[in-house]
Amino acid sequence: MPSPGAGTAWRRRAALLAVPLLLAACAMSERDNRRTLNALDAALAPGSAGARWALAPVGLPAGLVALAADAVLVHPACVVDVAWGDTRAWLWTPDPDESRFRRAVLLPLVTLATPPVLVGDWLGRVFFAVPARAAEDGP
Amino acid sequence: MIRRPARLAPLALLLLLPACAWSNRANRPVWNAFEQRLVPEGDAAFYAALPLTVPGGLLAIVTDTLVVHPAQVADDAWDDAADLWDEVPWAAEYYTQLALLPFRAVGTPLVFAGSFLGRSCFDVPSREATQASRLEDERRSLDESRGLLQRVAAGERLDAGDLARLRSLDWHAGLQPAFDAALARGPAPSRLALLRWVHERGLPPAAADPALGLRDPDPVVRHAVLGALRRPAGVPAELRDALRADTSESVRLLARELWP
Repeated sequence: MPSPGAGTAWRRRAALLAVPLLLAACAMSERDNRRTLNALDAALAPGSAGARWALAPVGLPAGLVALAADAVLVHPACVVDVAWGDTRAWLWTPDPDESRFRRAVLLPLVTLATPPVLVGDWLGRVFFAVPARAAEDGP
Repeated sequence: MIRRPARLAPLALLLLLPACAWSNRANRPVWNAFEQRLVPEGDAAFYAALPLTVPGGLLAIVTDTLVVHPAQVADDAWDDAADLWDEVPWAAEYYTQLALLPFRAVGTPLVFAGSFLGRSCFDVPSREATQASRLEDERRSLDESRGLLQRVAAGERLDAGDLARLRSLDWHAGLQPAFDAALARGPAPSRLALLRWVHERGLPPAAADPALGLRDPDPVVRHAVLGALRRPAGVPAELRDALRADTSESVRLLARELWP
């Protein structure tokens, strides 16, 4: 018989897992962030209504696994380079008017700021539907 | 043991929260009927009946709050929840919609409960009223746009106020005939303003014809439209050649910059 403490620990672990998944729901609401699901829709969707009904018992778990994969693996991996691009643009792209001395003085601070900015930007993009920089800047 | 004030607190909250909804006369039918039919109008009768009408009025408030108004809003709350199931694109997004199915199923009672409580407690406009208001806004916007286009077609030049209003107007499919007439018969400055409006905002006439306005008889209009083009690649090759050899030097130069 499991101890009462085991139930509490299990609930705590489930809550810890549920919080990031719920947060990632915001990012998953954006179609472009559901790469695996979009690929499944494009490549393996049945053509007729009858086939859609027949395939539902397999399609439902497949869709859920694809959604979870998008939320936990694919989208977080795909936004790493975007977060790095943001970090470079914000911290490592000097203003043309900035003097060489000012850049030298700020170098240690910029170096210190790089990991938290990178991680913060990455987490923001993993959890929320943040547009890519090109889209933010407009055409 | 829970003390009496603590037991009464939820009941008081239940009665106080819907006070906002109750502030709208349409949300208190029992009270309205009671006040119109059972409260005497003459002074003497009014005061004499108070020992009966005051408890009756309080009962009417409780009935409106807990029974009648919630019953009135239940169908709107149901429609709000049913919106989750509107136009599910099964054919185009089969796996995505299957994956969202459990969330929709869980969300439906939550949306119903939230909408029902919100509509019961607060003065939320009914779906019918919201829809009517939206249609009225659209009709007003359509009338305004059509009136402006008809003035241009009649040869009127748009003033600064018209130009400012034009920038905020939305496109409606019903405007096409008036728009065509305005472009065909309006003065050049007004034609230019209309062409800028559709090109800069990517409105349907410009989306359907990327070269719209580039054949305008006025070179100033042609030049301005060239400058406002969002999709220069969509302009047919023969028109590009014609513009690169345009009689107006400004148009020629700009066209050669766009299509070297």
